[in-house]
Amino acid sequence: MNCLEFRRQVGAQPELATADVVEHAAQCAECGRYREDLLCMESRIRRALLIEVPRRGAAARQPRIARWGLAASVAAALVAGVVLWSAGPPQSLAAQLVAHAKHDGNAVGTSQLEDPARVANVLASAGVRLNTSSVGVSYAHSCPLRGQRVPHLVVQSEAGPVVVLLLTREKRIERPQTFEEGGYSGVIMPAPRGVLAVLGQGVLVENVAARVLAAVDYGA
Amino acid sequence: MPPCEPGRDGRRRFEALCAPYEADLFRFVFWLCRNRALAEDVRQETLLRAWRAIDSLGDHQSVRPWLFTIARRELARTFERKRLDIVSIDELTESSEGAVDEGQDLAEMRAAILQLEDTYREPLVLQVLFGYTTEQIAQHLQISTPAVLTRLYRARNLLRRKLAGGAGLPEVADELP
Repeated sequence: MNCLEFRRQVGAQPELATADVVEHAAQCAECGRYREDLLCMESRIRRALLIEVPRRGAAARQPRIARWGLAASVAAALVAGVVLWSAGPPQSLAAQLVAHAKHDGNAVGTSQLEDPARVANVLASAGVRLNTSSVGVSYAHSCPLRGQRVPHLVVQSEAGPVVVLLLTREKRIERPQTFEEGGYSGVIMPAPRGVLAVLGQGVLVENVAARVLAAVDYGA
Repeated sequence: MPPCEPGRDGRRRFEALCAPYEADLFRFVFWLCRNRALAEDVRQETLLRAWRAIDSLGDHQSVRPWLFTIARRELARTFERKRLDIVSIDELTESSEGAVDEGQDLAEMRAAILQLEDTYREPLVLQVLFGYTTEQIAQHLQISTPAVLTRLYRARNLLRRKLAGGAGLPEVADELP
């Protein structure tokens, strides 16, 4: 692969990691930097695209709704059906959690348990500990999120893997808040320090969240 | 003759299938039309059409691409029905500031994305925000996969140039054949 081919491929798909691409990036410093720049920009693009979403009906133009006529009853029923879904936490936090989970989508690809020492190191960066005998962790990484380093874990539950994010510097909340976004179900739990978020697909996250929270030691 | 509306089971199915994608739907439409009020209108129209057509959705068909296709058609119909006001890029940037307040960095990026041509912006949004593969984007836009790759490359190249103040960055190949 030459530099032109490399840039054609990486410019269109920065996260492409074929053997050719990785090998060329390692051999050509300039192309390696190009790829790093693009990967960095990719994260910025993703965050920029995550605009705030209004609750349905809140920002609708009234004449438009009136024009629906008979369909208005249907719309009203739909709004009612979605109220519980949309009455979750501030969209920005939920959206960012989902975006982060998607961004690190490969993290849920393995069910092999992570080295407990590594899990402990990641959690230590946030000043917490985890009882890994009661919670199986298959991935642990310290990630930048909302201006803080956040332990990002993948916990293997009976129903499948879930993403756990410990935002110890987040503003504390009074009660658990659930959300549905981007194909993910999630819950944000109040924690002794900040919040603990659990996201999954097709998993009852509330049950897992309670178990994980009980296994986390936030210290004194 | 208007299509029949689904019954109670249809409503349950609709809510279970479509509600999780409402946020995605709004964002997709916003990045196509660059107008929050219009995006909200189109989202509602799209859900209404989806509601009426829910019985035509196959069990194994993916819901999100189905909603996006409906939204795209609905937006095209909206543009056909009326000539929309031309909005300046400055106004677009300003209107998007309330979206996610994460500082100047994201505001600049958002402004740069808003200035991309539709042909570059849409595949970029589908890829970066919704994780579409190039093949899925090609199917959605009904263009070839190489054409998608070219658009994605150019979209990123334009963003890099805009963010660098238009001065451009060192490139081995600025244009693709």
